[in-house]
Amino acid sequence: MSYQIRQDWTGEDDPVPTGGRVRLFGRLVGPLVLVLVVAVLVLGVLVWWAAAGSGASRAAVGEQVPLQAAPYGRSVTVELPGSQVLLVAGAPVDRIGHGVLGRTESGSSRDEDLVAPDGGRLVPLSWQIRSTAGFGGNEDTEPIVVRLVAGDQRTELGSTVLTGTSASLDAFDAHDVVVGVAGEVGVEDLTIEVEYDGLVQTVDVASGEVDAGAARALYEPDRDFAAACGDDCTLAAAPSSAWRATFAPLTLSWVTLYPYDAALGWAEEGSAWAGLRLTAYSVDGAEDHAGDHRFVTGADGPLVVRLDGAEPVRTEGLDYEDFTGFRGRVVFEVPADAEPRELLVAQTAVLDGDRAPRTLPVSARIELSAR
Amino acid sequence: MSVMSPNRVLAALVAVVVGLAAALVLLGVHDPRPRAAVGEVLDHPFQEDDLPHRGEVLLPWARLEVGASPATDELPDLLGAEANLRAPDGGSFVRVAVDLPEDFGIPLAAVAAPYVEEIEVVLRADGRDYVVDGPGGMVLDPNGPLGQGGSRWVAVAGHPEDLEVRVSVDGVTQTVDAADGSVSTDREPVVAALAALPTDDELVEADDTPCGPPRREDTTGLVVAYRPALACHVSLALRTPYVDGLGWAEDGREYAVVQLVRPRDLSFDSPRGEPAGRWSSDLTLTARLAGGTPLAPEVDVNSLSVGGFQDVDNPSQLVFDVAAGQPLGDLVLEVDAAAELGAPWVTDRRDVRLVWTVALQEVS
Repeated sequence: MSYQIRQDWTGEDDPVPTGGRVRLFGRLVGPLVLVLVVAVLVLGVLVWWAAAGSGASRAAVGEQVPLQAAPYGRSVTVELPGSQVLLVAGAPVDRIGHGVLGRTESGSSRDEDLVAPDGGRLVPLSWQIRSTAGFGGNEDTEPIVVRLVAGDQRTELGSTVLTGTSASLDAFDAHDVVVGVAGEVGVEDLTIEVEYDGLVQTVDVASGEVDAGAARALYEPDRDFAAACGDDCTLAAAPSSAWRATFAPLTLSWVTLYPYDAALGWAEEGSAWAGLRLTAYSVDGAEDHAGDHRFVTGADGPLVVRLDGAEPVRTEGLDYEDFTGFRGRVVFEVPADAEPRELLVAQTAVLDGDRAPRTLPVSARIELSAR
Repeated sequence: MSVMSPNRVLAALVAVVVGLAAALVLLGVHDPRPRAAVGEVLDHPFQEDDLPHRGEVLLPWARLEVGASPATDELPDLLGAEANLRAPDGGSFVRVAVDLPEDFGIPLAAVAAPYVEEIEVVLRADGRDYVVDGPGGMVLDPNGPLGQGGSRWVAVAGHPEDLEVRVSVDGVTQTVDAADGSVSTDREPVVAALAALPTDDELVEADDTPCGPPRREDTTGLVVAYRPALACHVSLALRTPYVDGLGWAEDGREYAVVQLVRPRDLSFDSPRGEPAGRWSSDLTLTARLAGGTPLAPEVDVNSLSVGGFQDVDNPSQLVFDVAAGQPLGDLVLEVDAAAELGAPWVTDRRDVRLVWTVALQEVS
């Protein structure tokens, strides 16, 4: 190796290698750098694409994208008067595959996966209302409102009225949906609210527990109380009365304790409504000890009904009609854990003619026992 | 130029390329989906294929086909989309299937509605128990609603090989081995007795047994005023090992469930030789079979059917405890009528007693 010292105009020494291998390397550096830079760019794009969602569409915060099937998640049933809300709530995810996504608004199927909003998550859900009202069906017009709460974000999933509107035809449809939420929301941050006539029941998704508040009684077996006289209840005059009723039957349903009344709304927490239907037939006639007989022409005053001495908070019907007598529904307010013991039913029959007595009061004290 | 020597630039670029390649690989294998908790019970929204090895389990009200799938790593996809949940760490999923075949019905006897029997379904995987019938799980309830049984996926620890499904009713358990569908039980005789029950159709077709004329065991001389009111017949006599509300019969014993139409309202005329009078009465029934009295109060049969048809004859039901395999013998019905003359001003009271002895014909 020999070096030629070259003196340039700056006066610095500048050794120039002139060996073979180093020369080859020197010629490859340029193309190598170029290849690597391209590789960096390509890989960078791929990594960014994979991280960002590789050809997926991004949900907006608060957006509800329909699914074609219920997702996997925790199943919880929320009880309402006359219906239930069946819920499935899945833990938040970053992405939902396009196969299960519902069609777009224009009706075409989707070929792109759905990813969460930037910095946010997707919450997969299913909710459906089922009627428990039996043969009579649901008559109520109170909306059932279902909401997702994720941290401090509230999204209304739906408000459904079961009867009386054209939308009620779809009231029992299933709703499978994924909701975009902001922030790194975890399953422990999720609750679902079901609101009905001012009462909100809250479902903690992580544990599946329902905070039902005043609706708690809907999750427990019915509390019914039956009359000791069964099908043979009758009203009778006082034992000391000179006149007795010949026939004064009374039919009554069970006394049922329940938390929500269609007319009165929710009972206060710690209280319940106690309701029954009854028919106090018009008294057939009256007879005295000598066998003298009189007919009954009507009733004087309303039917008296007392539960353990208390007056009802509501009566429906119970307007006297000839032959039928008094027929209607009576509701009392009682403590939620009450064990009603005695029902008092009384009416005053009006007797025909002008002589005394003009009326005949008849009554029954009916013992109740739990079914 | 010395800071940016070719060697350093090359080394830096190679490092970046390797880093990006590694990131790409990690993004590919990293699965950000949430994990199911061990014991979580999940529902796949579509009908799934029948499992190949199922065993027959008998509930008091239904025949069931029960099985479990081998453990798998993934839940079934949802229309091609990956499941939104993955297995617990180191765990897997097992599908438990409980199906009701077309002819699933077994006649259920009960003393009250709604029915109260307690049914449990448990997956035992490598010795660890997982409840399948809890909240959100499989529904098996004779009260309804429709859509009972089905499949549920259970998130389990590890990858268990030894799988059993245990179905219990009021403490009696039938166990299905998922590997071959073989079934064992801790109370062979009562399960066999369930299998031997007649079908619902056979019960409906069973003939009524008339009670025949009653014998009078009183000396009041009162005469039944309206003889058709004495109509009495037994519409059903069924032996069964289980009654909802009473549970399972003891070993060597069975229940005899008798449904009958009997007098409810009797009035009488005064005897010849006394002034004419019409007596009203209140009736009380005492019944005896095979030397015993009923285990539960007489109950209105129409009140027992949950959504079923109502019998216009208003039959009532009595349940007795009898020896298994022994003939039932005669049903003895005593109706005591506390008769009153002159109501509402009662002047006389007499007790009438009518007794029927009925040779029961069991449904077979």
